[in-house]
Amino acid sequence: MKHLTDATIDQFVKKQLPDGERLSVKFHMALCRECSKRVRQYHDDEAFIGAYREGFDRMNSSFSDIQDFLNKKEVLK
Amino acid sequence: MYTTNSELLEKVREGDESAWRLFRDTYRPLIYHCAKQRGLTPDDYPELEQIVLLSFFRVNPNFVYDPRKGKFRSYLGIIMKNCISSIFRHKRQQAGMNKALETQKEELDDSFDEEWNREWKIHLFWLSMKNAAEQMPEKVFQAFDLLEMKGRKAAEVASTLGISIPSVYNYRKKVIDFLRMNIAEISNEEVE
Repeated sequence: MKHLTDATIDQFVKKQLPDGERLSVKFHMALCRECSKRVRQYHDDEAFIGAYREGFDRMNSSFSDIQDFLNKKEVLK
Repeated sequence: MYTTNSELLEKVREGDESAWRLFRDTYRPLIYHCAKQRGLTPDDYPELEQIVLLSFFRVNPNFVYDPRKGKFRSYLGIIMKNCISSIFRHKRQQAGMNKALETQKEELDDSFDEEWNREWKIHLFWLSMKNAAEQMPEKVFQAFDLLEMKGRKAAEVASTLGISIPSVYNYRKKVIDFLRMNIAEISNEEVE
């Protein structure tokens, strides 16, 4: 039995697969312990990143804003 | 190599300029971001940053942060809260603002701790991302950044970086493992 590719797992976890393919993945996971474990790990990793993603973008944006502001103040001195 | 807050503050106390810059740059986004959430403007920022960062040494020039006495997060949070309140108080006094505004700000202060703890966690991730960008091979970090933070498709990332699709996912895993470990390392520095 061929294992799931990382790309398939990625799309499955991010709910980007069409329904038919999604069902195939679930069926495969029921039969393949290794792939089931890989999908669970991918879910965990995605949850880990997902928890920070939005906050990180906001903080990065704040950092850029303040760096621009401080750089402009330096230029105007 | 990761420098703990205690080591960094010790170097700042000794007058190490590069340590001071590192300390400032490490906490700048967190300080500014929290200040923005509280309603301060960019014009207030230089004063706030100076007060916050110098507060560590203002009361006692020989200040030595002792991690056994409390978490750095809590210590910095208290300083931030007091400094922001001080700036608002100063602004109110200058503008002669009414009591209603004063009450509003005091009520908001109750939510500061929760907000601070939330932003601190984001700060740890931000710091770990910065460490990953500096310490990991460029393509490894870029693959993760493009795939996970910028939402590009794996095929596009592979094409952009000249690597295979399996490598994109391999690099993704490497960076995530690094981030988990780095966040744990920074968090463990704080004593419970």
